[in-house]
Amino acid sequence: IFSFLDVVSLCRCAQVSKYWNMLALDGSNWQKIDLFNFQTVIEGPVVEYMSQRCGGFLKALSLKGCQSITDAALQTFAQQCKHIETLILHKCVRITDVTCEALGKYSKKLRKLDLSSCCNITGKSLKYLSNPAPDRGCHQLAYLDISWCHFVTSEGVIALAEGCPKLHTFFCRGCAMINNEAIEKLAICAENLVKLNIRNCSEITDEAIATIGLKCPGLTLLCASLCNRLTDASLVALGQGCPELTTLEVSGCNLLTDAGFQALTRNCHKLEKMDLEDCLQISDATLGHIAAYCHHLNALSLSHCELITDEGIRQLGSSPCATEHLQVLELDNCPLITDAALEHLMGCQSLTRIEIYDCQLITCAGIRRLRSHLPHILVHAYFAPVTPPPSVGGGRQRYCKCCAIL
Amino acid sequence: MADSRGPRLLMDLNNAFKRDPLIDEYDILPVVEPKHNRSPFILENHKLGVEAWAVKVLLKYSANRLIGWRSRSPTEKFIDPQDICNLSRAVLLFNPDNYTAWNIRKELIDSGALTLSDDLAFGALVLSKHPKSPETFIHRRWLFQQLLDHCLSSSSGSNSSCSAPAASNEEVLVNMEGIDVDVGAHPEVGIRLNGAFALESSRLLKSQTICELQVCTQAAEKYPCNYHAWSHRIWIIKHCLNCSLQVLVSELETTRSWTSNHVSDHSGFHFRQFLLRELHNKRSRLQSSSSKDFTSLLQAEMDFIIDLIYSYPNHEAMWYHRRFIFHELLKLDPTQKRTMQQMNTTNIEPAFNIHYNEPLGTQLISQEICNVESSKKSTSNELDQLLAKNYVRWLQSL
Repeated sequence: IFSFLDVVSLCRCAQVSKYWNMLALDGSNWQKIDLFNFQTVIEGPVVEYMSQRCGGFLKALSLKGCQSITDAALQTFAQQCKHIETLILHKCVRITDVTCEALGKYSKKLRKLDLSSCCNITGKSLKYLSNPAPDRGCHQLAYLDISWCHFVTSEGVIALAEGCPKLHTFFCRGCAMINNEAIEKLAICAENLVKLNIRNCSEITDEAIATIGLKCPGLTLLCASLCNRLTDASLVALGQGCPELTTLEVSGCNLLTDAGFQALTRNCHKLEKMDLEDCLQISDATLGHIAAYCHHLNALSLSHCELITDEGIRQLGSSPCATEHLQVLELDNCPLITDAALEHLMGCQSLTRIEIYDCQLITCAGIRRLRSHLPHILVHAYFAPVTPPPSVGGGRQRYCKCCAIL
Repeated sequence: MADSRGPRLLMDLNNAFKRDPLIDEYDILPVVEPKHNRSPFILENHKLGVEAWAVKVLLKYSANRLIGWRSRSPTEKFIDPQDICNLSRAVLLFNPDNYTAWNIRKELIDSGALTLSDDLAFGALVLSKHPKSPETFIHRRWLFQQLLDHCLSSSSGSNSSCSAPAASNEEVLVNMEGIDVDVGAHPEVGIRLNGAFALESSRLLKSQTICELQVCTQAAEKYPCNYHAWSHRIWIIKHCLNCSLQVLVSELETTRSWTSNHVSDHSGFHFRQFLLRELHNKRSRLQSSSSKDFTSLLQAEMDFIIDLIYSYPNHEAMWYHRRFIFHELLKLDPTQKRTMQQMNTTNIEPAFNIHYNEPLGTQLISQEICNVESSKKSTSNELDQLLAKNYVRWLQSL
């Protein structure tokens, strides 16, 4: 029973009696530890002691936000807990490549490693993790997050690709030094690459995406937001090679046009989430293509896509995805949108949230009409939010504040 | 239920500052309800307007997030330093006396996420709308203390950087007419520091000090009897300018016209009293470095205030200033009093002859009473007569 309890409860149980103490602190109950709520309080000695007590039982440890943890503690940990499979070190800002050296030495079973925001990590860490020597390296590594580790080089990623072929999820947001070569190598070596997030890696161009299109048929998530050198060629490549794509985020990629999205949507019918914020060249034509081909779409962001008009929304609203699947629609800062667009969305039964900030042609009356068809929808506009709809049977008509004043 | 507009408003505010980093003034526009689906932030010509309805929403959202982060609530544990900076900015623009937010900014400066000059500029912006915010001034004193400590530590223990203006005065003859507070005129003179960094710190300190005096003036303009602005000015002169003679004299000059335009502003006169007191302490140096002496300064001040009193009847603040000046005159050395007496002979009515064997103090007092009585006759204003009568009563109690 103790194995179901969380850390705090286990510690409390351990204080009840000697017998409970023994049971609660028995290693087998501590396979999965999450110290998120303790954060800065957690220091080296805690981790070291814990490693000794739990030993080989510990499989999953989260030190998310524990900013005081240093390499020394994690070295001890790696030595003691050789069966670790999941390790979250998000925002453990003091750790360096030394930690990864230890992991590369001892943690053969490591499958998931989160080093995001550990800004001292460099390409060396990746080399340690992927060490090809016979008794070293974490070759089971399937999930790696090195977002915001600015110093990681392409060289490191190339080594990683060669040494960890089982990688299926790779996030390197904000790692500006990573270039095409690194991503291409990753695409080639990792046969099962499923999720890739290269947000803000501004060196990436169409070449890398082309290779991904060729080599990663199983890709389901691609986030290339703020990689603003990408053009329609990337979308064409993805369309041709990644039919399983469900999530595509390309916000800020302002070179993309309708033609690219036509090529993409024609083949990627499984798209569920699309973020096209700031794709300034997108027009109603893209919405037409999405409406025609993407029947499972549930979230779409078109913020700042200034060319979108009511006509595009009409096409979207009458598509197969709209009635049942569409949940979130972001149209803020699309100046041409009027109340007519809201009319077209009245049939979207699953629509829970719509963002229309700065759509200055939209009026209170239009929003009210939409709400009368979709009572549970959240409409985010600058107008004051309305109180929840009246319960069934309430007869009095309600006006939103601004209409009453008018 | 949280108002969903909070995050959007914060984002709009941040974008406004990003678009125009030189915003120098802001105010609230009297728009009670949003009639249009349009952003409540209006930015033109470096001036920011915020519609009134948005202030409450934004303030509530930002304050909640900030306090949540501070008290480490589960939802707000991880906020980027830049976001913290933006949140504190949103709070302080509309609630400048929230000292928790100022203290958060102090921590950001210590950790390097925010620069001192940016914070000083931001504080000046806050003062443009809230000129009487005590917490803002308190925070600014902390910032200047940091600058001072920086200067002192980087000048390897020597005090030369900050006392540079005073040192230079020994060499330069002070010209009393139309002195500008241009302490920056002698950046290199007198600074015997090593290294460009130390020079940089002291340059920063000097330029910020000059700006600070302007900030104080503007705040004093915006709000009458702005005690906080004037006492901040005093603090700056004491700690950053070391009460140097050059500064005291030039301040006396620049505030002279200010006080004659703001005759009811007691804080302005109080500031002049501080200057005169400091000059009194330094009167020997004043004598040696310039041609004028302190007594003549005081007498000039007395003439100035008398003139003002008769130009603008019914302002009590000036009478109190007159009391101060008269008191100072009394305190001076007997030798100097004799000189002044000789200067006053022309004012004496024939009925009051000078008796040299009487204590000089009472002569001065009776002199003054006489002056006031004679002028009282010339005004018909009741309040003015009352003020004059109170003054005479005070004189008689001395």
